[in-house]
Amino acid sequence: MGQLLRVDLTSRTCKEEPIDPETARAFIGGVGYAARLMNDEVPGDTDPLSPANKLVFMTGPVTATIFPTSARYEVCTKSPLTNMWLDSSSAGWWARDFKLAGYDGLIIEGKADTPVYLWISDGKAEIRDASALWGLDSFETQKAIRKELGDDKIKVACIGPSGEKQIILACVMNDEGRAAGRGGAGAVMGSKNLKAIAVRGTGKTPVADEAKLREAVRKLREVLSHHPVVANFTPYGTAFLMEHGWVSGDVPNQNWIKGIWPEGCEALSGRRMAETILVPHAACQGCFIRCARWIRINEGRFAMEGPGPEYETLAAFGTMLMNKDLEAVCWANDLCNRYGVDTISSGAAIAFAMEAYEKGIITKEEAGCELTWGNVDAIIEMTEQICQGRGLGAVLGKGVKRAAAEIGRGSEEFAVHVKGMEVPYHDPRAYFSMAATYATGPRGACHMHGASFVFEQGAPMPDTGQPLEIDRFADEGKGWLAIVGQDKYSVTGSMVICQMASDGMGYLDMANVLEAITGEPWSVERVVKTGERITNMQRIFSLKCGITGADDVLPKRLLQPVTEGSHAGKVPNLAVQLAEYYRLRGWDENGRPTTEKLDELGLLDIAGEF
Amino acid sequence: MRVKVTFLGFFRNQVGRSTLEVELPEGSTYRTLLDAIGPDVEGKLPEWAWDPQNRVFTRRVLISRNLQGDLRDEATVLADGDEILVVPPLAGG
Repeated sequence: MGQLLRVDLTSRTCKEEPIDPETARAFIGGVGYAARLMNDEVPGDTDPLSPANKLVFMTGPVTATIFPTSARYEVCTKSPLTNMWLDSSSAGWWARDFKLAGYDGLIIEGKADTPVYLWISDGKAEIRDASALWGLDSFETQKAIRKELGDDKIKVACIGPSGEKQIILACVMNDEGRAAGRGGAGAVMGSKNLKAIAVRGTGKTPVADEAKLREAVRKLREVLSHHPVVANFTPYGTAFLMEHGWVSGDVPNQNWIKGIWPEGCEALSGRRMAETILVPHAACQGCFIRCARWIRINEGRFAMEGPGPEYETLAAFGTMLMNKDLEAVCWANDLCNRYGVDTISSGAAIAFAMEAYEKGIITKEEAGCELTWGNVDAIIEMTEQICQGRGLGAVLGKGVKRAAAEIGRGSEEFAVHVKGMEVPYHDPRAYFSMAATYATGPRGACHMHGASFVFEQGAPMPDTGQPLEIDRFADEGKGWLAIVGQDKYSVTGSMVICQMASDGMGYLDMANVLEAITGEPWSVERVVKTGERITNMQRIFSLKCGITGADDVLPKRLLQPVTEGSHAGKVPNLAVQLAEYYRLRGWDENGRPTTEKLDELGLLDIAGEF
Repeated sequence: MRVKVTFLGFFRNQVGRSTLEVELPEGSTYRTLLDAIGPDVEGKLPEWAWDPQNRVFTRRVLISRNLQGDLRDEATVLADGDEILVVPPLAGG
């Protein structure tokens, strides 16, 4: 078992503490371990932006091994966007160096009285002055720290100016535009006056059975090279979905109003990007899938070179805003990377504002621009406003739930969120299981905690015995499908591997990898039960924060049918799905795990806490 | 009658063209169409997408007829000018 680094910024002290072996056995690591830790250490009524909130950076047992896609970390905290559980994941290189510096996790407590950054190197941790870094963007910050410490190999996770301002859509950024994007972890980091965490590690991750792990990796590479969907991430990135996702209605347009927009999707597709602005570049550390995009725009107002947008960002600044200018999307993406702001929520907030403008709820004077659909100038202006926390952007940067509450005048009707988290860009009217998945998502509306839509159109299922044929417009069985997706992701996020890799893994594959690394016996049954335990632990923390079953809802817009496309006229019946979901979860009618369920999951010790 | 079959996403690469224009007798069904395009897709699309035994797209593939719901029933009677979209599985985000 490894160790954690606990940093109290108030007292400016750092101390090491061992990983608790029982917690690690029950929750693996990553989001699972952090969920238990947050539950035990952070009261539910904690103000997310107060010193009492904690920010937990976690790796997993797989991190920095030969397993591909394992240079990931999870940031876990109480979200300022949703006021409940948050885990947010990022890839790149940072996590590998952090782990090889000798730590499995980092717990940030308190608040520094002046801006600081952490410097962690091979078992040593130091709190350093960051006053000269305050105000720098995420790329400038990394560069400045490497220069100050005199080592180009240092990896940096940091906030940009938006995190410093505690804009609650702010993310934690690392490496080349990689982001722990959702839920406002960057604002929590800013609230603690913590600008960055610089790491350098040269150690080695212990692996109990190297040969067994090598075999698991060999098999994964073989499976993924012929995988129906993952194989396409290499040439086209996640944006490959844009080229054909519109046929089923998966891709939302115009703040979820318009059913399909083929020409927009074509203009923003991964194929178009590959044919025009994509240039070869390094992948995340140790990854052979290479979904990350690197783009070069040689001329024009959006001339740039750097990380390119993935699918969610193309939908956020593209189809959701009726904008088919790929280069403008790249520019908005770059702004968000530099300021450190979530692209999904920012695009949703601008879409919300454009609809409010169209309805006469927001004026040109209030917006500072003509917020018409597809207006590239307005999209860039509003992105800058959100990132800088000024003008209408200061309101939108609080997320659409709060923005609608402030703006009023009926705008709540088209504020598309679940529990305050803007809905990512897979339409539950096209794949009904996403209704239950979004309504019950551990961090609010989320496509990572259970991308169940992929199972509805024939992506390989985990080894559940589930039949391949699923009617995407049926409600029966979709509560179950949401559970499968969420619990599998709970394991993925606790091993801390990429979802792309886990798409090619069944539970037995996961058990084999865990067994190879930890040396402990892992079975399919143990993997499944552990996933369920972790999802329940996240739910319990959120229940302590005040959510109830009444919050397990979908926004009105997603319960209104579209009029065009293969999903025209279709609307999921969330009540049917939720009843099935609660029953199979072993939750009561208020969405609370029963005592029997807690006993089954080995969580009876916290039965009276929520 | 004339029916257009459009392959989207990476199916376009695998089949080697984005569309097939197929001449069929009046009153032809989806089954007739599958038989007609079989030689164009067999050996090009992977077997998880095209079942060569039954000469049919598997359930992993979304088939849409004129963007009106999903096409599965082989007895469905097609009409002149129909556009059939052949869509790979989704993933990612």
